[in-house]
Amino acid sequence: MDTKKVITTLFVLVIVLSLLSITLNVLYGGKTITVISKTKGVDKANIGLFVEGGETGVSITGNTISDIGLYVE
Amino acid sequence: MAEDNSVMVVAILAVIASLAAAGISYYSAISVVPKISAYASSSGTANLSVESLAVINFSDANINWGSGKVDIGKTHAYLDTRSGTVTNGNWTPDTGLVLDNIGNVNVSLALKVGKTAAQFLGGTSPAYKWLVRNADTEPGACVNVTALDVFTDTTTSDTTFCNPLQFYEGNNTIRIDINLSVPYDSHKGALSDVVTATGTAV
Repeated sequence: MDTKKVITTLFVLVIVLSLLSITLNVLYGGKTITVISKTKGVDKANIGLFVEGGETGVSITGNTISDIGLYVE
Repeated sequence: MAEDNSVMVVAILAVIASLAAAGISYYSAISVVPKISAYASSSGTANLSVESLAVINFSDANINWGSGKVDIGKTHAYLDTRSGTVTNGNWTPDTGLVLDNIGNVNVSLALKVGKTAAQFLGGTSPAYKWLVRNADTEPGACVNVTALDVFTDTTTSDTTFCNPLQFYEGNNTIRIDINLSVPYDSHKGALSDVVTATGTAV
């Protein structure tokens, strides 16, 4: 009699665990999984110009001397 | 009595097997859930892995104004790729950079340059500015930017311009324009710098 109760209990346990297993698989077994395989992208660009030397910009002119003269008695 | 014992042995084996199955399912579930980045509540039956790639690319990666000088009598020449003009100098006008998000995720876009205006150009009161704007045919590519289409001083550390820069085809391209004020007493010879764009998946 006791053995039959134990067996019945065990079978009930089997059913519960099986249902649990099925539930877990339904919840998590069929999902789309997104994996971030590359999270950062880097690229570079170039900026360039050539500045000619010697004649650039504001010119510096040479000194000039002007004479102004008069005679005051 | 012997039959009962046999049945009991089978039942115990069944319990052990069920426990193992449940354990495996549980372990599998808890090991997978943390890896799900786009976990949705809807049900599905397909098992597949979708890779997210954050990839950006300069489809126009060069600005080259060529050779020139500041006009006699002027303190600065102004080189502007936004308007495609050169003022007070004889450099060749050029257009700006073009950057595309060619990955499959939106990215936060940060830019930086390699040199300050003083390091790049030198001289008295040089200026080195940039602006970000959407490509003409893609008005929604750059979202949540604080200063769209406005020149600001460049920075040598990352400055975020778009959050996000979208990846959708036809809406994933921006332009980056540069404005230089070259002083008459600037560095001479070949001057160059590098603009680095970094896109981080969001």
